[in-house]
Amino acid sequence: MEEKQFTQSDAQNRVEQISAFEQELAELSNDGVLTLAQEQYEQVQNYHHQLRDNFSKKYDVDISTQSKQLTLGMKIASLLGALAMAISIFFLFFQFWGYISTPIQVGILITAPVSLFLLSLSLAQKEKSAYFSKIAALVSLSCFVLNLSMLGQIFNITPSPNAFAVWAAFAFLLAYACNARLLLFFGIVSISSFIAMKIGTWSGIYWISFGERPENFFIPSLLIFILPQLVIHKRFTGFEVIYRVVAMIMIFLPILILSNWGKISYLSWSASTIEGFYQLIGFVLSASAIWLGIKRHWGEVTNTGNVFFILFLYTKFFDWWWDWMPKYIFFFILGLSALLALMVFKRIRLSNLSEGVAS
Amino acid sequence: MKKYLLIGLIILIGTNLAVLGGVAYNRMGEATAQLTLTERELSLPYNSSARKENSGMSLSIDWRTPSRNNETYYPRDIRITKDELLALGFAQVDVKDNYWVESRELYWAFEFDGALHKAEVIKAKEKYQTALLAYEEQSSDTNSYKKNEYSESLAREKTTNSRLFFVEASADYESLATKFAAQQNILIVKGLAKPYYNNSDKTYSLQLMHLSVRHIMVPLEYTKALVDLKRIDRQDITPPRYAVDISWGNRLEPWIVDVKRLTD
Repeated sequence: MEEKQFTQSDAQNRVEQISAFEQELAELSNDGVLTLAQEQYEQVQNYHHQLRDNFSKKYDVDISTQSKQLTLGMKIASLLGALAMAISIFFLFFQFWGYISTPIQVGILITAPVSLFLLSLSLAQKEKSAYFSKIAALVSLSCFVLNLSMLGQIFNITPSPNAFAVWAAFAFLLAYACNARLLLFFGIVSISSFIAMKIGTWSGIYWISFGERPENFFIPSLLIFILPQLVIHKRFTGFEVIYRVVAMIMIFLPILILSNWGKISYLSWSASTIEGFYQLIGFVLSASAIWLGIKRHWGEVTNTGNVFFILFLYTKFFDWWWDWMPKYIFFFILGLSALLALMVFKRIRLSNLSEGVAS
Repeated sequence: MKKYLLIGLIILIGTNLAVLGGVAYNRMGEATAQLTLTERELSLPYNSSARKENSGMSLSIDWRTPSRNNETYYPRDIRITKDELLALGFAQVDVKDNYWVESRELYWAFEFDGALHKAEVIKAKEKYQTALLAYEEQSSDTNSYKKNEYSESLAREKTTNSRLFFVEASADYESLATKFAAQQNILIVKGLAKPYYNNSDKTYSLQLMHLSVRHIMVPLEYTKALVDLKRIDRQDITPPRYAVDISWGNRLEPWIVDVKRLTD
């Protein structure tokens, strides 16, 4: 029996690979292509059985379709439970904080995130699937958000963007400690907002207005996109995908806004020039993303690139034709453009398939 | 896990220490301003349905700008020159369409219960006297309405309107502190403002958006004096029911020192 170390996702992949192998072996046997000798067949079966048992005990993987469906249900329940509990903490504090003195308020605000943080780490060590540790971690993060925002209210502190930096740091820490993608998402959003706020402040605007200049998001989104290239995330399931998709949304959405609303740009050109410039950038970047995704086998990058390429294309169609063109022709052209895209993707797929066969 | 535990505790405890250290620094040494404001300048919260979910109490700061000639309302903007706007740090004042100009955080100086308020009382008195004379000359419905309206305005100016008046904005604290060093009734705080260009009369103005700290939290020990009170309507002419001693510290952040009931 091999003693190789797996991550939970590696173990799950291996179990699925075994199931696929068994199904294919049965098909081959039915078609009379390959039939293993009884001894060999039993040997393989025993090995797979032991492997699955071991993975199930050690990594809590799903070894059947039913358990996979139940796991999905548990994930959804844990996400909803965590979000509801996080919101409940806010209302609970607001409901009673007026009846307690300032030192006790401060004490509660500090001890709540610390104790929940300790609980989430302890659960993460004990649990294989970490459902409860993820809930505790998210509630701990929301307690920390409550902690700083309420200290601000209690002591009448001038609002500061620095809170976003520490919330991001804590969210990242919890995400990596509990292998939680939702917390990673919050961490990315918080740190990107913080960087965008700082960039906005350097250009002279008040930090809360950071969203009024979409270009503030370009630098944080580039940094977030590059990060998974610099740090290996093998142990963390789906983290690289979250980094890339959130980064792409943060770069494409501002470009989409600027391509339709040039006046809010930092650039000092005329609004129409800025809009044209960002439309071009939008097409080039989304097409490049599709190419990069295909080249690196990053499905999420290809899909996000596709979505934004179509959004850029359709907003342009809308700009050009909506007002004067009969609606049946407008939608017919949209349909034709979708067919064209389908043909292009089919050609790319075929050329990929033939490359695969050749290699 | 030990690594996560250590970093996590550093983030949580370190951040709280930094925040509480900032609060201690703000309250350290001599206060930058100490005023006794009343209900005229500090409003109770609205009794909306959302309040039922929030047991905390905070008072919002009501401030004004001096009224302009022939205007009966109190605008939240002041006339200013282009050079003055540039001195405040605005770079886009030459943008003529005001389409997208962001706010900046500036230092605002306020005068409490001083010459600016006295001037408003005099203005209100003059308006009332003029309306009274007109009514005595011709007791028409219009003149009667005006006389009553200005009488109420005068009473409101004397009894309920805020006496906290915006005086000046500056990009730096020191210049304001030096300029008003001799006056005890001056408060300097931070607030957000943005420029506005009036295309029809080609003038610039500074729009005063809001204070950086708009509400002051009432600690539990002082809420007893306020807990049974309800927010009064701005049209009511009611003498202030409470007075609040407030200090502003090194970071220009306020805190309540005492709350007193003025009427029972």
